[in-house]
Amino acid sequence: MNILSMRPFLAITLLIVLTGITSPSYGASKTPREYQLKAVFLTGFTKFIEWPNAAFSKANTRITLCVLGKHPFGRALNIAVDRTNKRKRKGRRLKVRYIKKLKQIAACHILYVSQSERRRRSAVLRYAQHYYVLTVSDMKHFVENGGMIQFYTQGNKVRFFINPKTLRNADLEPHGNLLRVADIVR
Amino acid sequence: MKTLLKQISWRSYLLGAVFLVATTAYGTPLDEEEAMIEYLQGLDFEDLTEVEVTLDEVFDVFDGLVKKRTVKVATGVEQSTAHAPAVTTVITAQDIEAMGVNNLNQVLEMVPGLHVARSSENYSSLYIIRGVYSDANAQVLLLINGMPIKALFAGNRGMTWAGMPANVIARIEIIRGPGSAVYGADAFGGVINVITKSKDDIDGTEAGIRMESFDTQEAWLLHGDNWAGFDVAMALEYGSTDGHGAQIEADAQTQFDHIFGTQASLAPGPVNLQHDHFDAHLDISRDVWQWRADYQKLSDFGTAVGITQALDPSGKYAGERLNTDLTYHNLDFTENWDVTAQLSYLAMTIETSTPIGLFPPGAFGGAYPYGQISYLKMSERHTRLDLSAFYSGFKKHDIRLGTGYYYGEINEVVSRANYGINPATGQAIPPGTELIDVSDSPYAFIPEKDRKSWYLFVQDVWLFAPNWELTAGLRYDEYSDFGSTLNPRFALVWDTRPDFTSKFLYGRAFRAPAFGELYSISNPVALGNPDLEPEIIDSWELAFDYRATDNLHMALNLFSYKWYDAIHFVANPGGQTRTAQNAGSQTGHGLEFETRWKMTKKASLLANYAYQESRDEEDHDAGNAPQHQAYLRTDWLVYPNWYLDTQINWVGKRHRIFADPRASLDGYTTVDLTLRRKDIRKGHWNFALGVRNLFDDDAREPSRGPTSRGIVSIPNDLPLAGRHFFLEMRYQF
Repeated sequence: MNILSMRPFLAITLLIVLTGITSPSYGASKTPREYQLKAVFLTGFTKFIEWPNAAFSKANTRITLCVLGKHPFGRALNIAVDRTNKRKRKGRRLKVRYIKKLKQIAACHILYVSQSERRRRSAVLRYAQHYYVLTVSDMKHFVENGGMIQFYTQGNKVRFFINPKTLRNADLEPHGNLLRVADIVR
Repeated sequence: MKTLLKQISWRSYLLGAVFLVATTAYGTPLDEEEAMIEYLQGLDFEDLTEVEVTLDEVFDVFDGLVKKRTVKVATGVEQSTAHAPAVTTVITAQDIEAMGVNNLNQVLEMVPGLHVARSSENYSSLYIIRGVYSDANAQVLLLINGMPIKALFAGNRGMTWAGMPANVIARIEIIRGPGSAVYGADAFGGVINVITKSKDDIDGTEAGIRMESFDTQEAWLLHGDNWAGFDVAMALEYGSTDGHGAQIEADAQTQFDHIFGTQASLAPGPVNLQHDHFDAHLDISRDVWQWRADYQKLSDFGTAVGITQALDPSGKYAGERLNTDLTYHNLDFTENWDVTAQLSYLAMTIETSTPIGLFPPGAFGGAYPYGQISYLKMSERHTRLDLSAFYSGFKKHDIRLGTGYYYGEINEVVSRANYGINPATGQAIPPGTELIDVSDSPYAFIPEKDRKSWYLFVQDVWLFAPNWELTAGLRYDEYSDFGSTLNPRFALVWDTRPDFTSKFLYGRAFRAPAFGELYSISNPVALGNPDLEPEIIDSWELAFDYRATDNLHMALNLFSYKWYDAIHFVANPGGQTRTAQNAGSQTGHGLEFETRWKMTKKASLLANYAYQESRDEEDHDAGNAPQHQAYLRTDWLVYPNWYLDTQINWVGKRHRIFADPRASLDGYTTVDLTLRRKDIRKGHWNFALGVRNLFDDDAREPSRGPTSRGIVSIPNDLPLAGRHFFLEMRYQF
């Protein structure tokens, strides 16, 4: 290899790497990412929802949190679930499943419907109606279209709409504490 | 094959072992993400609704670089690049914006082992992957939304391929290596699938303008919205450029001037790269249906170095391309079947808007007062129906089946010339006469011909042990002109550790002969041969993917290939004419190393290095492609909302083919800077200012080797643009 001809390349490379690393990272305050907060909300919902016993086949069956489609969570949701399970002394533990097909919804207790599923959202909601599953999404108009919980952002904050009626239709009981922080849609 | 396997194996294992040891010694730093989630889980719901977050939609090129990237191009199903059974790269719209580029052709250099060279024919971009070089670049398959953009005539992307606007590109997925088991013909050295923007990728309205050196202006409008239940995306772009016009010191006519003592050459003179372009894009979807259409019109398109490598500043082309597809994709066709059907159509037309000059006035002792000129027009049409389905009814197998039909034709050829034979009289056209119509005669440059083909493929992804996945695929293609071909692929993917993936890959691919190679009858130095067989390549790869930390990813690939039945124009007895033959072969091997590193919250780095060595059938260097190349890109948030992107591209020395007496072509280094002010909120202007080839390096790409008479038409190669600048403004409504 002609090392000589590579010299300018190497020199500039070194310079840039050094500037990148040593550059002051002003404002390096720890701001969480939207998807990290949503992952924490999703695992947190399990504390505020009562599923009927029929939703679980065994006493120790885990609460299955399903993510349908292309999701933004990266590792965040798995971390949130692992940490929740570690801290849990009583009650059901959680597990995550990343799913693609509608038939897989049958095994879910919480279903997060990704933005990528916009085009088939009505089919998803129709299918989910047959199960004890909490439907959550950040698609616009999700709650109006028959979904249960819809995230939205206001400024840089994450909030959510909830429709208690659709929850109760699926035999899910939301706690008062959840309804208190949510925006209730009727 | 045995020796080849041997050759790849010891080297690869050694390198693989070194790589594993070197990288695992790096250690794991504190996990920021776990800490953040722990903190958030300590808050109650009321507090959580008050937490300020960084929105996902934000322009975050630093995180984007190390975020999991998924590809569909490897098997047809969405997979992470780390696990896909192929060596793949994904380029996102965010990458494209960060780099400040406005055309597909400027984006691809960041792919390890891919080098963008120029064609001696028309200066169009050649995507050279791993040393597989040819002037038409027919060995790399370019797809737009899965549809091949491929001309029947030369196997290239059309005579006036000028890329496509980067503004409409949502993502690009690239396979280095063969893909015929999935894509059929021409997925030979690699596959580039460009996916255009849909409603969600635009969501709103954006208008922009760009000004660049060489009198280049561009304006565009993007719009994405929901209309009456339909997701609609639209894009319009208009642009015009004079081209960089770098000097061509000597051309083909210069060489003839030396021989005949004439002074007709227009060299030294600028390369003619001017053109205007208009692009329109439409994407309408609802439920399981999607309709997309792309239209491109090029006008006043310069002849670059001229069709015969003799400068021709007055000749101009006009070109049109329409590609459209109607796609049905139902993930839940039945409980276990995920079904896709795509009907697609591609039409390409090229026409000389001002007759092109083969040789300038003064050539041939001044016999032709206007020079040797010609008018041509050619249209191609391609129609495809592709059906494929995934079956997920078996527990450890994911089976994919597919079939399809293709019909393509060169449906219109018009050819007029003031030289050669007049078909009406059978006599030579006397110098100095008007253009004579030679269409529909044996003197036209190509007869009107068609091609039909159909195929069948099957693929199984088998999870045969925990952490082990075997992908096996086989595709059968039947062509009306050269018969059938069968192309297998095998891929073994092993999750060696949770953060480390190893892959062993084998694939065979073919390239269908172009119509020019099969049927050309009037060009004495490039006569067609209807008995040609397809070119074949066998490739072996060993790939490693290592996620050292959340912020540092590395990949190493080793490859070896054998390309045989390569189509060359071989001199016939007497040496006056050349005919296409399956005469060549080439072997090559090499490696690619890539690292993606989010250095801090405000800085990231992508670097890659690629090495390849390719040799022809007589063990000479295969030439033209760089043996070494390296690329580095850094992005840095220098101040809130101000981003600085630096790209450094080093292209090593290019050896010549054996028959070419010239010394090796020197390598070059280009440095590009882009400073961008970006505020993602609507109702804001975003600006970018950039410089390309900052140090004004004399960058050149190899020109074509000697003709049958031993003449190198353009001895000083094809110059690229020197230092130049751009300014870009975008407004979001």
